[in-house]
Amino acid sequence: MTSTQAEIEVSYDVSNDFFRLWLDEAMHYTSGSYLTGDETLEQAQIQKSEILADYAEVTPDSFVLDIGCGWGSNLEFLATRRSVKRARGITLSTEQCNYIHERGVPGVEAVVCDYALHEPEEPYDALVSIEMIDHLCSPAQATKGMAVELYRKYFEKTASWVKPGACFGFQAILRNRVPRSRKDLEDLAFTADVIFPGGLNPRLEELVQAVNPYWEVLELRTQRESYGKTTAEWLRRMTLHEAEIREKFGDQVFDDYDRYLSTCVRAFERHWSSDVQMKLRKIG
Amino acid sequence: MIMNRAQLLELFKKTAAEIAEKDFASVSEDSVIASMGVDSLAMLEVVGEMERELTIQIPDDQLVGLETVRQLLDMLEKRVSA
Repeated sequence: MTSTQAEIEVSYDVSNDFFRLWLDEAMHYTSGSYLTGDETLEQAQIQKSEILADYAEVTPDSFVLDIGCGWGSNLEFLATRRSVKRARGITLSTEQCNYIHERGVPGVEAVVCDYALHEPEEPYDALVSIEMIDHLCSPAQATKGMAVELYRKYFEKTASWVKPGACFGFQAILRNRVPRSRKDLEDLAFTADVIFPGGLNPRLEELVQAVNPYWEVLELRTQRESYGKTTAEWLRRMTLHEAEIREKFGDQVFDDYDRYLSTCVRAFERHWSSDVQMKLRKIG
Repeated sequence: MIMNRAQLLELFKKTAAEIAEKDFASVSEDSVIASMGVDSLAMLEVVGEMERELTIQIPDDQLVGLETVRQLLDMLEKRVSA
């Protein structure tokens, strides 16, 4: 069971205008890839999409699926910077789907759909998914030891959608070391319960275990520091708009997101969390 | 910091007492952690304090399924002597 549609809408449907105030202009709500450390957030987000498109071996003629496509920033990247003629996204968020259609990027379409129910009319040439797997397993399911099984079902399903030998540019937030202070643990629990209900970040070893036997891991890179920089920049930009956010969206929204983003910055700095990108190739 | 078994038990009792604000004088190696009235967050804080005191780091997966003080001390002793 993934995060429910209601849970996803808690996470992403506060208001598109709210997120527009502090995300980059293309609205990537996932880690950018800072390769030198001196890039802007916008550059880091493009570099992230470049890495994943390269991992997926995307060409202009590829029929590409973005699983958990957010506000369509990566789809737009594929269509405009990689000249992909057919890029489709699936999301559980109605607001995000509407936003993508409003963008009206030629060659891009989005569908509100649970990945588990998605059945393409023809096989995809390439897949991209950016931090969607973090919604697949709830904390309660992880406690019952179901994480690897749930992730494996996802990798089995996604492999069934593509042509033999197709590649997958995959990115996920990881959980790593458990903090040892009550305040830190409560802040992380707040993030899980209030900002991303129903979600839990996987551990790296769970993902590596779960891709087998459907996908081969060809490349793997972690980018903990990139996510630290990304969340720090989100926090900085949101704080610049504090008065506006409090007025338009209420004190609770600002206070909740301030706590969430501050916790994220600490989480990446202190190794409680990380981020991984993998190049996967379908076996068989 | 090198400690023997008895010292480790005393350190555990002292640390747990400070964090949970309870008296654990009667706690022994056979005590069941869940019955000490220490919740899981407090237990992680206790482990964190002991890691700092002993200058060791315990892998998170080894904390899963700990039931008795003896099991915790076994794990600490291995790390301290490693």
